Amino acid sequence: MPHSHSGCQSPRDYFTEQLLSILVCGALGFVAVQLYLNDQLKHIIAPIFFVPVLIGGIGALALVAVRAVTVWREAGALVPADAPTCQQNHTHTAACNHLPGLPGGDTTAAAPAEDHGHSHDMPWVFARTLILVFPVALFAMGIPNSGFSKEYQEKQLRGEKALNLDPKALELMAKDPKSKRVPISKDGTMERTVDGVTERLYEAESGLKIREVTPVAGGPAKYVVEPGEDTVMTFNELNDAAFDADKRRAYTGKTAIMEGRFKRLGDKEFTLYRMKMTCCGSDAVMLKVRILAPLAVNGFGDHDWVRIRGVVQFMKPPGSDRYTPVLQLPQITDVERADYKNEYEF
Amino acid sequence: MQASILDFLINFSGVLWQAMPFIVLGAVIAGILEEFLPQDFITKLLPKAVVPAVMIGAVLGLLFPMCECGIVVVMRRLLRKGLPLSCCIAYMLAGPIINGVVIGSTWIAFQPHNLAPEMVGLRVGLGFAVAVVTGLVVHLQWRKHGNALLTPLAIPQSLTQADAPPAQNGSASPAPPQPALFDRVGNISATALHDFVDIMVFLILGSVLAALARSYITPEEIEALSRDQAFLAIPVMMLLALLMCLCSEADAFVAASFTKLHLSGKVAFLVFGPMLDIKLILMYTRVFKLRLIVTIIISVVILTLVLCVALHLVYQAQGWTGLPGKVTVTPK
Repeated sequence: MPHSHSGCQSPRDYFTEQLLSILVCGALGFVAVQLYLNDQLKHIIAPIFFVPVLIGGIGALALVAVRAVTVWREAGALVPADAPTCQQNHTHTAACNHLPGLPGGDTTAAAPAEDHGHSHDMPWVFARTLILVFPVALFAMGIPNSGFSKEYQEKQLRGEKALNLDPKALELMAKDPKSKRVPISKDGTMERTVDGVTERLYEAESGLKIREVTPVAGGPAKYVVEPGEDTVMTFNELNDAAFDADKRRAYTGKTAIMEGRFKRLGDKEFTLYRMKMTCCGSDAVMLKVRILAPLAVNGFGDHDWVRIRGVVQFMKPPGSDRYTPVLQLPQITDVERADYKNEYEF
Repeated sequence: MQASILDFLINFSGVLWQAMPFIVLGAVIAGILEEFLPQDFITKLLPKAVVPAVMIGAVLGLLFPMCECGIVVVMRRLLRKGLPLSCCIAYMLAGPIINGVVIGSTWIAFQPHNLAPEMVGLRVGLGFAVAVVTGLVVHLQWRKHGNALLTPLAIPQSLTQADAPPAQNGSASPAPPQPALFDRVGNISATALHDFVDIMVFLILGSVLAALARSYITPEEIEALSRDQAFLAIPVMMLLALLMCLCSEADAFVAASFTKLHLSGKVAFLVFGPMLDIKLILMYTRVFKLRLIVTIIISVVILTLVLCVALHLVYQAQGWTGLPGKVTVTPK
């Protein structure tokens, strides 16, 4: 007559549950380690969590290894149900050597014995396993392998309005009564003539420096932004600076080198953007910088990666009460194609 | 693959894998507690009076630092070891806020805004108040309903073993033999694996729900709403915390990025988030019955709301801006 733990798990169910738990926990640990090794975590979480995921994965694998050995030993210690020492409806004692950890088994042993009342029914165990396998299946399908979709990014770019600056904006800024003439070179020279043009330098109220280039032979003067020393800047620092008047003043006129994705707003105007993630994908936001070119920009499509070199200033786009960082390119060659980078700037 | 599905999967994976290491850690600690912590040991150290006991529960995080995912697992084992439910609730709610790691990360996040001492003080203070009051509310409910508020797995062991013959005073039953080290490690692995699997299922389900919600509501929309309707900022930031499911060790950096938001909205986000979010509510179902979960939700929502609105009014009355201070920064 088969032995029965009335209301409890049968040994078969117990071992099935344990094996499924071991398999699925091992698979999750393996996936965690692989996500780290394959550098896939950069698509979904911030770098501060990379090492914890690796340690979590190794921890899960170690846990599984110990548990596997324990279950193996339990199986080895199992007394067959029809053994002469195990009679029908007998009283379980520590000496009867059933399964450690099973109700009626070795009472000094494992915790599941105390989990009585908790659902051990097998349909739930299988359903649970299916749920747990979901992230493993995603990994098998190669997910995550990229950042958010183009459509997602388009949604975040909606509502961007071109500044459509007056072509004479720099001239007006230079001639503004609040602007002042400043030396064009370090030796204090206020004006110089080279290659048939006379150059003067103005500093606008915002701190932006504008070079006036007048042909000696006569003709209209040209106005271009004066680049400073090249500095690699992040979207974070420029967007952060946009909120603070002192920071705006400090950054204006600096020359920023940046890489990001391209989104056209007009012939000479585009948005450069990148995503930012602080914790995980659910807090991802888009950071944008407006780029103004001296001539029409051709040869780049939306979402292409580009590298730009531009002079920093801050302006309020039409209909907005917030400043946004605007980078004016001194030359049209200051925008060039760049390699794909990680979607996020951390 | 369709773009919206891909975006959903990225959101889902982010919430899941960010929390997973802390579930492993929580599960291993749970295993060690289960194996080595004598029944009712902590309870004997706690004061008999409820209020001081709950207050101690709320600062237990300083001793056992955990973020909100891992703490559910650890708390369930402490509950089984006889720690009173009210103390467990206070520990579970305040632990992810009042611990060294989170206090440090909050400080660092707000230091560039000249708000670090203010934000840390308010987060810890309000977190403590919400956790203690909720713990006391739960205590009142527990006196009425007892262990019917808990799932079978969370019921203290001394009660689950009520069928066992009571030990007679003086007639010492023979002490069980000390288990071998390997057996103990095996037992820890059994509990840890059990708890890991048990909670991971609900973490996955919670992450699915959070990612679904996140597909339809974006933080930009919520931020815009709080900007346009200033009085909505606090509840809206609480809603955002509920949807985003951020780890309490990193959420301060997200809150700090809402530069134009009044401090009261940020405090609401930082106090509410570690106590309640979609994945946590799902994980709570492995410990508490529906009645208790509803009590916790109502209590935490009302208390956070009321305290943060009061905070806002105090700032207004004092004429404090509650916005990041001016910092002079020279670019490199």
